[in-house]
Amino acid sequence: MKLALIVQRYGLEINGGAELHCRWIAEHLKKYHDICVLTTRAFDYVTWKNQYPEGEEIVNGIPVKRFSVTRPRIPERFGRIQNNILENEHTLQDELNWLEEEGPLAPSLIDYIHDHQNDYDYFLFFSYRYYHSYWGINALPHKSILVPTAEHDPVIHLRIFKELFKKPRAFVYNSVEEKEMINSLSRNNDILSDVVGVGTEIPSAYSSQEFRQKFGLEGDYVIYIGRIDENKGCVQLFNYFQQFKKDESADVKLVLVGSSKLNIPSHPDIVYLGFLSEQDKYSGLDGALMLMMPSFYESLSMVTLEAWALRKPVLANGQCDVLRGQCLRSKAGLFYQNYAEFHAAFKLLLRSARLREAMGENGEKYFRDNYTWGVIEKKYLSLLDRLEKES
Amino acid sequence: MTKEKKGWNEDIVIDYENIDITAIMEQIRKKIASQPKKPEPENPIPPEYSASKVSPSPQAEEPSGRKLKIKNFGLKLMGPFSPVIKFLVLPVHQELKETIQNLYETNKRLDDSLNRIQAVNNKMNRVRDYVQLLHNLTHNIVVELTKLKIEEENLKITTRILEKDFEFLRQREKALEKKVFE
Repeated sequence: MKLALIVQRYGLEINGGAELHCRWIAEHLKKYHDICVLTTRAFDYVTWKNQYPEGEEIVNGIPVKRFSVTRPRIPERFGRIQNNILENEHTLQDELNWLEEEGPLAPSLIDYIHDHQNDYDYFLFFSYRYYHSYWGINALPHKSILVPTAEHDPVIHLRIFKELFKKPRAFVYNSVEEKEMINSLSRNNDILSDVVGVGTEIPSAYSSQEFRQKFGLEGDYVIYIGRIDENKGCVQLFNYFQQFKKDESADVKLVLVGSSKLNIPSHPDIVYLGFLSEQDKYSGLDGALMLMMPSFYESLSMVTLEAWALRKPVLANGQCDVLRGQCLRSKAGLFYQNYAEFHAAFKLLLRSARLREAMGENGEKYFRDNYTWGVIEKKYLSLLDRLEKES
Repeated sequence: MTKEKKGWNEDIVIDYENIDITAIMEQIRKKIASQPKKPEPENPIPPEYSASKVSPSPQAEEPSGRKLKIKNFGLKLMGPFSPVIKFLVLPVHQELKETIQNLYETNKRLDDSLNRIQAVNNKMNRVRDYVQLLHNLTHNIVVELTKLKIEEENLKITTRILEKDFEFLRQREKALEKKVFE
């Protein structure tokens, strides 16, 4: 079977989000099918400026065809248009204009999909909210599979997406909550779908001892891994953690790993390590008491799965449906919706090593049953088989 | 099944062999509800600020016994003169001086503003005169153009009359020539 995976950006340099999700799926499905990735030349997700060379290249054994972005995004203009459609009455055309502004505007990619539809059996679109998914699915709905990677984002309520979610042949959801949200928005329960998500690869060698020595860390610590951004709930986490330290005499540090877009508070127990290699990341996670996951919007938190793979419990933001659902299903995480809950849950996890151990064990089992690559690959293959049988 | 109660979590029952997150969260919420409400930290004070604490100032010693009696007697004696004393002691003149200075400054600012308004007014008057002149000029141009148009029409008519005269003279010339050659 020949499959085309379409995503807004693609490359080894992109280490998160739907782009990494797409790369991992491509690299794991290539054992079974003929895979090709169709993407843009963009690297910067704010402006979509053409940075990669045009044409075809091989990335980790996968042929990647890149198409030019004809007009980069102007963030101020896009922000104005988005505010306008979110706050005011507007037409369908306004929504399409918004989509064009959001980009990445690569009409040649859509033309290619349209002209080469017979060369591929199925087209897998990653991220529902971009130009390539909307116009690509509209160009050939009968061959489209959508991996929406949707969050509780206000734009999901736009009319164009309500219609879009009724068109693909199949859906690959990241979580039960994502499926429920899209089903309730578009009443598309009849479309073939499966909750799959993405697997993760745990490096064979990592050491919490080396990590502690390398970064001079002593004593107990909890860890946050990911982009340090207000949208990821980091400001709330800083406030809660500092307040917790004032209220309690717990000797625990908060270690932050990832690129930062915020001013990190200068607190003796908040340690910022910046962006780390995969090995250091896993070593840091291995030495932590638990993972803090304060994000408000997640369609699937890969780092949460990684924590569970390493038998670490998670303290998550309960305002995010997906994280709350994952904690309940895995029995491997507590969650909070305000400071009082944060305080109580954090204290409970800090003081009870047995609870952490039991939850870590549950997490590892949940990861093994649902998110190892064998399971993920099997789910994709089974979905493709069902599609073939239907046709 | 192992159910344990530990330390702070004395009232949180956890079945470690079969962890039930919903049950733990419910117990946490119940516990929170039974305790005084914790304030939500909106903008916590950065640690460098919270560290600087001001020590309370030592209070003045309270007079007692004989000293107190003498103090009260002195206050009673000074009672009728207190407004004069206050007037002399308190820095009223300083306040007056400051107020007068403020008034003077305000007056200066007002003068300055008035001058600016005057300047703007003069400019406005000049602009109004220019507009009036332009209006007159436009009116005169229109009148002149109308006159020129009438003149043009008159000249066209004159030209047509002259053409007819020439035509008549040519025909008359031809007729006379014919007569001469006959």
